[in-house]
Amino acid sequence: MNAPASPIRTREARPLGTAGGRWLVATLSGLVAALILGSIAVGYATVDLPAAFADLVAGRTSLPALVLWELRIPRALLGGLVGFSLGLTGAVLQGYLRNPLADPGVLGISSAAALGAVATFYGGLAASLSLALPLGGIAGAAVAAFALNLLAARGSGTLGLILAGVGLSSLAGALTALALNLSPNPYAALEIVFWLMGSLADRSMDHVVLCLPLMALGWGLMLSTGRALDALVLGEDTATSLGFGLVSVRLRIVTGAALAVGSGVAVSGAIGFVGLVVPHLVRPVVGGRPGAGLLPSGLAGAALVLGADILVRLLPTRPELKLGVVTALVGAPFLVGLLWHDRTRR
Amino acid sequence: MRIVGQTLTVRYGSRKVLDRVGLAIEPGELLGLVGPNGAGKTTLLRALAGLTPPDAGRVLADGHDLAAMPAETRARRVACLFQAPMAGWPLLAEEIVALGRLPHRHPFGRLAQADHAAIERAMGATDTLHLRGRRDTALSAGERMRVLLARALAVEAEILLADEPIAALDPGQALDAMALLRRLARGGTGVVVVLHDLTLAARFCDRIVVLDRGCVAAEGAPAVALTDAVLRDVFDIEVVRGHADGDAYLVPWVRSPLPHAPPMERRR
Amino acid sequence: MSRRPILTAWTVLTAMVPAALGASAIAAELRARPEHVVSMNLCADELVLRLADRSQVAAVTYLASDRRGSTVATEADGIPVMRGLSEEIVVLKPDLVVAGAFTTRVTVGLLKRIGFPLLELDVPADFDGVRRQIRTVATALGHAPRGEAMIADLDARLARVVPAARPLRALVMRPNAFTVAPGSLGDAVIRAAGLVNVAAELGHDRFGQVPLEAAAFANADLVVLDESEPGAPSLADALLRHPVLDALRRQGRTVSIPNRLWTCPGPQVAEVVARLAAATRDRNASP
Repeated sequence: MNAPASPIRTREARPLGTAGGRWLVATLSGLVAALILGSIAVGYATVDLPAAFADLVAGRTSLPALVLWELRIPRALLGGLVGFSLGLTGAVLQGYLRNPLADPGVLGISSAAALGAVATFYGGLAASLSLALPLGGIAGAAVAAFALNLLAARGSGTLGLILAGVGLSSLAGALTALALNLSPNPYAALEIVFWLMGSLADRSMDHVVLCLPLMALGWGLMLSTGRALDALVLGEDTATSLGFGLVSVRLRIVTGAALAVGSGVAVSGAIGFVGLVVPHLVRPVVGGRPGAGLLPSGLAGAALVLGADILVRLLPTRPELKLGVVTALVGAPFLVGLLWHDRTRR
Repeated sequence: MRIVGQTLTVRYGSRKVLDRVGLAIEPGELLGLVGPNGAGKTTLLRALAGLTPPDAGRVLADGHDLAAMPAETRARRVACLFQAPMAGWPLLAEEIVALGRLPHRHPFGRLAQADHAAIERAMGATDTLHLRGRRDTALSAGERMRVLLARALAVEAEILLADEPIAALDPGQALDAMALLRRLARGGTGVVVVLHDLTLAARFCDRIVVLDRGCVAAEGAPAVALTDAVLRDVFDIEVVRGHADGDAYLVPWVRSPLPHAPPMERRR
Repeated sequence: MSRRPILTAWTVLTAMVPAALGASAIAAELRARPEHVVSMNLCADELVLRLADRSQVAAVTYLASDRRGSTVATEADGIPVMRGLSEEIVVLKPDLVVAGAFTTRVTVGLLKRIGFPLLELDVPADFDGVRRQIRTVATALGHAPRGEAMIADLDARLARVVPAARPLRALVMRPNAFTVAPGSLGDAVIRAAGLVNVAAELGHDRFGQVPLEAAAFANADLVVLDESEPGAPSLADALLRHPVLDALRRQGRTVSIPNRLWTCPGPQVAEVVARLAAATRDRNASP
């Protein structure tokens, strides 16, 4: 150490891990674009897509154009939007809570969002004001995210937060079931599967329009915390000393997660495990820096949900599987593996 | 930059952790902060860094209230090294050091040439260049401490506040680190370092502040601050003194005999 | 649950009509007119309330008084309601329990073991089945002539219907995109109106659900929906307001028929036949 400071040399080969990240973002963007096209192409009826596109562009209201615009495209877009929201939120929460098991589903934020959406929808609010549906989801998600934040601020460890999340999920799930059972509509009680497992079947462009602006706002807030998340790797004191206001960071993350997950769940139901899995998938490529994993995690989340949504339509099971079934088949073993790894490490 | 803490009082609940502490950090000076566990050293460091707003008193930076300084400016001018928990994510040593450049970067901008240069300098100074591609999880405690010190150096701030930076280092590395901090001070930086090793504190620091139960018990050059009476009163220890290479040294030797003992009860 | 054993049981039962109405019911039947009848299923409610004296009915299901789902909401006024739980039924000490063959199976099993006189109604798949069921229930209630009158009324109303001259293609969309499966009573109703049930061509799932885009491309001349006030919201109902169906609505290709009219076998299904035939004539008339 007493050696003279080594001569300054510029390293052009790898500017601190960003090259891997950029390559991954480009690849994932391509994959998401391909999956969106694939999702538009897959369906229950044969559609002459080029002709439908031509009709759509020309403004002709033909049946194929209608199906394309109101069924196929919304479904594909929502898959990408909801997946991006879940993946990004998972990456942000893992970085912020310094907890590899953090995920909107595992922490109960998704179920709380579902509860909020259920309350506004079956309470009749959404019928008079369509924006009430995403707002209900956002309110539910915000309450959960804020509660977990308080818990984390009080120093709950990894497993403590997960246990709190399990409790919150069960409670929100139970209250959702209660709300649905109290509804006088005989179909309502059967719809808990949608809210707890998630599906993109038969959504429309209205749903996209409803949730896209709110989601985009949430993404912006969460992406803006990338630097702060990097600094937080060294603990809250060091992050503060590096100029990051933790109150602002916390506020942006809670609000962003609530906006993105809340409005997503309100139109697609709660799709589990996406936010848990994807940050771990991108980490080997982009490295451990949380800020570097945000955008790739969002894109990987979009790819995962789009892929799952294509799969449920290709599988011969009818009615089609809920999305949460597929993501849980991937995610649950992953969660157990992570817990096991985490346990043996300490 | 000169930082002055005036009559700083910090309470945690009803307990006074700092009680009207006054302290000045001068450019070009290596200031050692010593005291028994629980004396308030880390709290004082946090207050001087602007992280813990004092319940009474204030911190001035070049005569202006530090609390009023924008966080980004403060982050560029005052660097801190705290005892951090494990990162949790397997960052590369180089990525950790690069975090020190965050206050200098534009939002969403990439590392500039100057940032790379500062990172190289910091890693070179702490002898961690060979660790740059190593993951945090694969570092020994001593290597990790040096990487974290390099992170703080990479800020290239006017003031460096370091909380026990040599706790995990072996004797050779500890000597290196103290020499580095002194060199840094000679270059014009104001350095405050919390230390438990009184021998190294007396050997390297320009000035020592002894903190005891939230108050300044003694202050001055090592020979002035670390007298037998202060050490007996604050630490309950007796030291052996000597000279080497023309410098005075002290080594903690035995617990003070009665009537000062037992220390645990005396403290209540 | 498989339908086959029940159908088999039904065949056996009908072969012995009117002497036998199910083994456990025989004794009660021969004795006298039942005085404490409990109905455990909406379709049973409809027939019991229409065929029995009010004084005979001890309880019907809570569904009977729901104006949206039931055709006997008025008749059910003032009659005690229950939810088909064993305890509720046991305390009523019924001398006849009318139950559906597919609903409240646990309660029905228990009542069988206890030995309450029980009449189980299956789900008829055609008009003959409807007639048989009316006759069975009327006889069990001790009002066989009322049953015959109801059947005559049904037949008269069916006879008045003029089937569509040109067969149009019809697709029924009920909440959750459930359709009317081929081989069901609803299918028979559609055919009686002179229409072709498009559901037969679609690859629907085992619950009879049709994906919305398959429905859109089914090229149906008439999409049959229930456009009456949905009451409390549900996703199932919301689906029927999807923009794709709205587009069909704007083209005048939809016809609204309350689902309650053909949820259950009864004389009211003739009304559906009449309305479908009328809608078909209108549609044929418009270019």
